[in-house]
Amino acid sequence: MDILTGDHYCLWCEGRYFNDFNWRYLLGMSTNDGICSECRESLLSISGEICRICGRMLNNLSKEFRKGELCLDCIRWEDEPGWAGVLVKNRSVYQYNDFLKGILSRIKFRGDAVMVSPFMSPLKTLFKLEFPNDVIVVPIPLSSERLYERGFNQAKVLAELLDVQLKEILIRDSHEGKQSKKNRRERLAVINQSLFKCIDNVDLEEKNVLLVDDIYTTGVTIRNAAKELLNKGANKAYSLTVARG
Amino acid sequence: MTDALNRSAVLAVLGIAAHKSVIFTFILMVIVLYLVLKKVKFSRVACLVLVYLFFYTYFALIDQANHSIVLSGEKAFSGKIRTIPEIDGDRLSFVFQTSKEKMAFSYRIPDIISKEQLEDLKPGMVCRFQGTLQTPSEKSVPNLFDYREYLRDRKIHWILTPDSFSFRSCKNSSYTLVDRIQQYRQMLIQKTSQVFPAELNGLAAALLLGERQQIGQRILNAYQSLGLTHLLAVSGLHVGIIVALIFYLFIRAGLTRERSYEVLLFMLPVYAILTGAAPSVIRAVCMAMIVIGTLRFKLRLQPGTAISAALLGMIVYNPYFVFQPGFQLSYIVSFGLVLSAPAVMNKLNHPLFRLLAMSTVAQLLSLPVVLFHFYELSLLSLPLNLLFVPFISVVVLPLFLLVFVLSFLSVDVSMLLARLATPPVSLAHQLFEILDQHNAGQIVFGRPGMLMILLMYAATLFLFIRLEGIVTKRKISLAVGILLFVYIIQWCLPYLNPLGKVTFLDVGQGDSTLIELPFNRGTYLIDTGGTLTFNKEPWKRKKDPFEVGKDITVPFLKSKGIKKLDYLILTHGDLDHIGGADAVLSEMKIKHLLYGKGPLEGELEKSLLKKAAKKDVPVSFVQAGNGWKTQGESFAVLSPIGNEQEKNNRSIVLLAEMGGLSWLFTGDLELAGEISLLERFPNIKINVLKAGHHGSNSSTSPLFVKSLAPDIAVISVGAKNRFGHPNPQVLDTLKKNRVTVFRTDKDGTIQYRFFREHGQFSNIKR
Repeated sequence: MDILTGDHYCLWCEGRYFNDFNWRYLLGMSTNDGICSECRESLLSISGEICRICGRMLNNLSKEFRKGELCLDCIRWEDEPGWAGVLVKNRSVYQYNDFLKGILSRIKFRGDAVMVSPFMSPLKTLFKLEFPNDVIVVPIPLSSERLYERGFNQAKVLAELLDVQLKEILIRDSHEGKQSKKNRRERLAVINQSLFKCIDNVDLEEKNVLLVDDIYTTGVTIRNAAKELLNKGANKAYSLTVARG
Repeated sequence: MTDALNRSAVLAVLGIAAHKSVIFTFILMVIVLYLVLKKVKFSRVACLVLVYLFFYTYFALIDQANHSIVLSGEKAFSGKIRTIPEIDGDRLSFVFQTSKEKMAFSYRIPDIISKEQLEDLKPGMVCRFQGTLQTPSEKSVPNLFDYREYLRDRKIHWILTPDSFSFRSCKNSSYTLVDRIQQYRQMLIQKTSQVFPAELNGLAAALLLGERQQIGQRILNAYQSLGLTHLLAVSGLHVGIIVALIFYLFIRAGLTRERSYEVLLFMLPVYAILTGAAPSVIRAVCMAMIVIGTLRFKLRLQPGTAISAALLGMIVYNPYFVFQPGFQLSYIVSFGLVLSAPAVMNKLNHPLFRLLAMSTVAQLLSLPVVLFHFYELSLLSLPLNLLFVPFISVVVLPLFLLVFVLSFLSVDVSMLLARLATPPVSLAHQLFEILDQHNAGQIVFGRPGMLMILLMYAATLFLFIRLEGIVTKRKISLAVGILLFVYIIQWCLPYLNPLGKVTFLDVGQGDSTLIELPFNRGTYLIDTGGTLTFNKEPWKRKKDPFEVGKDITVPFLKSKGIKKLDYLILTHGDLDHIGGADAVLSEMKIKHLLYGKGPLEGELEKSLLKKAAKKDVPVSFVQAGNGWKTQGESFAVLSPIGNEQEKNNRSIVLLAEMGGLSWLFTGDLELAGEISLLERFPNIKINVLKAGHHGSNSSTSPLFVKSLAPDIAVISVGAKNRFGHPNPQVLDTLKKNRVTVFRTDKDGTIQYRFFREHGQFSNIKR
């Protein structure tokens, strides 16, 4: 009877749901993103006032953690010698909550790569809205061991959703541990070691790059990658992630 | 797959509508192109095109089979009364079903005793009588109601007039279930007048039983012009309330849910017939049945499925539904409300804003259809709807329902309850009537063409789609701007039209000529036609007797988008020329009224001029020598001089130069007037003569025709008129002088359309 009643099964929670029956749907303009409205509503978009650099929401930060249009984190980064201006701006689609955490970990650690598809349209929208259209899109790579373990790179899968040509020009050193298993102090302890290497024979002279990853937490990973690309001559580095932790 | 169902419904309607206008084929092509560009699978697109072609062919086959098999000479008839017999004044009418086909039965009741007897006629009775068949009158005024087509869409091809008919012509028969339900409906309609006080009776019959005949004509007109008629139609809301009520009663009575659903499924079709089975009722009942059916079988349903399935079912059963305004409005609005609901619910929180948004959606979606059928819009429609939709649906309807049900137990108690509703309802009706009388907030748009309707809907959809997305001020104001622009263009069409038109309206026996100059630089109406009304005995009087001014002249002017007349020229005081002027004065803005100089003797002319004065319309009494010029046209009054003795010879005679031709409009000018005219203007030659006095032999004398040497004569005359107009002598004179004759009785409305100095005559019939 599904044929008659128009049921779909949600990609994330496997519950039954209907498409929104609205004008866009009638004109074939609604993109069926494959998830039910409950799941969609569990995602919290980033909106309102945000940090100019890292894109985190400033509204739910208490006063002492912000200064003007920047958050305290970004101020500390900008004051750090050698790190000022490395990342021009990061933008993320959603706030990092338990629901999104669950979704992202199912994608990353259980290999449900198809679950990224609902992110396509918001990522594309943000991409078009926030970044110059001539940027070179670079997914944050995994180390070869990790890639072997997972079978795919979630950042690359996300970057592919943008429908633009990717440049996989970064290589990740293999001796660091999982970022997600470390705390802030541990992560920041390694900021001055280089985590990434750019492959030779790329010309980034006067070009802008956009790094894509699943989540921006402390910014160590992304800034590290950005610095490597700037060293290779890139003009400006931006980043785009699904979540802002 | 539901997508397929919803899209099939749209394409099925397009396939049927394509028989009326190519524009629907064009829409199909746009849809196909769109789907191809969106890279929809070829097989899917092909399926949709097949649905379109299927319904195109389906309608073609049904339409081809829709013709009469009865011979026009047939005299003896026997058959069954199919609909509840309707008696209006001395007119009895119903649909008569013979063994071969349906016919429109129409009989003039000779006396009041027969009338009383005939009131006992019931649907389902079998009648046998002698009678004559007539073809329904052909459409003879552009844009206006086409009775022949209306009947044809209901598979009726003949009007059947019995030679004599009485209650004894009919007998009880073995009634079918449908007959019995209809008889019950007839009984209930009569019952409403006993249960409800006179002020509420009409509204109650409409709300409870879908019967509008009981409502006073003026209130009905007010509802219509204020855009409230839909309140009087039994629709989804009624069905919803009734279903909820009955379901609740069943559950209380101890029935299981499943049994209750099943019983409701059987009751709903009965309810549809009981309330008159108008398209809106059938739609609502079909949808309710689909929803209840899916509940009974524990299926889940996408909101659009019920609408689309009901629509497809209805047009398979009877594809002619697509052309009925009730069907169009009912589906467009209900489909649109369902489609708009998610956005309205998501973006607005306050119930008042939601109501406002939904009312606006309904208004915007029905507007093009409303303009197509009624030519004007009331600005008060939205606020009044906001006020009265909740009032009628939350207060009046449930109360009426309660009163009606109670009346089966105790008439006194129900009467008492009904009185409660009387003050607010009569107050509302008084308000509606006053607003209608003053044409408050009415904007005449004229009848939009198919292309304009398409643009109106395109702009509306564009706005709705924008509203569903991320709302920014810029995006929305652009969409609103485009929508307004389309409607403003429609409003401005007369001002943009480079074509001029001279239209001899078919007003039956009478005259009415409309002159529309290019770019709206002049709009003149010469005479209005008029209907002779005898002072009938009260029992013979119809509720809304036909009157040319109200039923033809004014609607035609409005359908053309005419908002004001620069000159209303009333040639002289005869009823067949100025009888309709009362309606024109009430409904249209008139800048100037021209009347012939001379003594005012007739009651009619006096009362009209009084009315004009009351409405602040300046009146000028003109005589030979007056005239005016526009850019490219000129108009000169040749008559009267002011001392004419006889009324017809006092007619204003107008000589016009327009569209490359010279025209002479003579009113009812007779021989003496013609001679006087020739004496004063011996050298005038013209191209088009509006023959005087409907072709009577007292006018259009051989001398006059010979001297003027027209190429074309137009005779404005009613078919089978009592005076024998046009006179054979006159036709002979015209023939001898090689004048081409147009006659409104044979040609219907005659129109000359011109661009600069060139133009062409056309006629609606022949």
